[in-house]
Amino acid sequence: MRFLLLLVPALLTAQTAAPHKTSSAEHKTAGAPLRNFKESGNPNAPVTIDLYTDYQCPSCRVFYLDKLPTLIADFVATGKVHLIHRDFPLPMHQFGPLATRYANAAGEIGRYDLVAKQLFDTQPEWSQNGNVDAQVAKVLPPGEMQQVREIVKTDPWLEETVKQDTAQGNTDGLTETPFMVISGPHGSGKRERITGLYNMPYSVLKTYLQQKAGR
Amino acid sequence: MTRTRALLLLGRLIIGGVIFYAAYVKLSAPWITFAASLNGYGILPDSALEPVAKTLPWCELVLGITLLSGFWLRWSALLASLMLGFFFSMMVRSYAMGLKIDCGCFGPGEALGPKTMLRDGVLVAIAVAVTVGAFRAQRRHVPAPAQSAPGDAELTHS
Repeated sequence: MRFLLLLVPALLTAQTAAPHKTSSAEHKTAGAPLRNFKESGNPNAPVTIDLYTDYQCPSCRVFYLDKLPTLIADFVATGKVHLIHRDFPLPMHQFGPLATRYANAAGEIGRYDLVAKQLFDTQPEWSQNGNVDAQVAKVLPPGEMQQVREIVKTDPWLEETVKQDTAQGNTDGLTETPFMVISGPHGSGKRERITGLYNMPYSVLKTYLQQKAGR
Repeated sequence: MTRTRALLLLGRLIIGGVIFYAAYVKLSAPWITFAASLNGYGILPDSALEPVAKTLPWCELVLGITLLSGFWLRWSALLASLMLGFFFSMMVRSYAMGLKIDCGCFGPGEALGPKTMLRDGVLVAIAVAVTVGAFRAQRRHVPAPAQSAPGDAELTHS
């Protein structure tokens, strides 16, 4: 009994105090060579969130459209959270990779948020027929749409960034999408994996982030 | 050691070990992860998710240690039976409702399904057996009264 009483706090302390394998520096080298459009908020914020989504995943759509705007307003816009969007197209989603290419191509011309939102908004349509192009064309002017099409066809970075995000997701122990990893400034400290985002009440997520960010 | 006592010991070590491990896994993860699992069952209001997610694993931890140590065995076994029985009934209910949720038994990433329910059902059975065994063993060891008052004999042996 005495042994158990000593063992329990020791185990818990070791688990919570141990730094995560991925330190700040390692995190940067292991992750994607992020381009600014996939990041938002204060880079020196006390909390970093890596948010993994798949454009064809219905749960990601719900999270992106229902909860993310409030999270951005409460934490990213106020400088408490540095948000990094990472792509993790799941193998069972046939058109997910194509949608990801369009979103990142749009990002390269400064239209990432607009196109990402459009892709989630119209997910029920393009996930039926794969016509991602038609949905993106509805929100971009013809000139910009042409640029995006060119980038989608020719830019090898589009493939590379997804590979690197996927590798980082595997390192982070991703088990589902949407999936969130919360760490300290610049990805430092323990990387906490948050699952069950799809049906998590925003009030719970808000309380947790407030505690992490020191209110 | 009799066979019954050996089985009782084995049973309480299994139940205690499993409950202790479940608590340890939950306490090692951020509380929000367990809150998300609890939310999946749809039985708690949003305001209760945080307090329950923060306190239930500690209760499990104490219960696991109590079972492993053998202190207050009857009551800890009874509590474990009630707790596991409640979890099991919630799992059956959710599965019957067709909810695609995390079991939340040993941290995230384990979907609720026949396998998890079978495992939980076996644990409930063991916990109930340990509870019954512990109460029976206690009854056998109750010492006889040192001095009986006249007329008590009939009552005692009736």
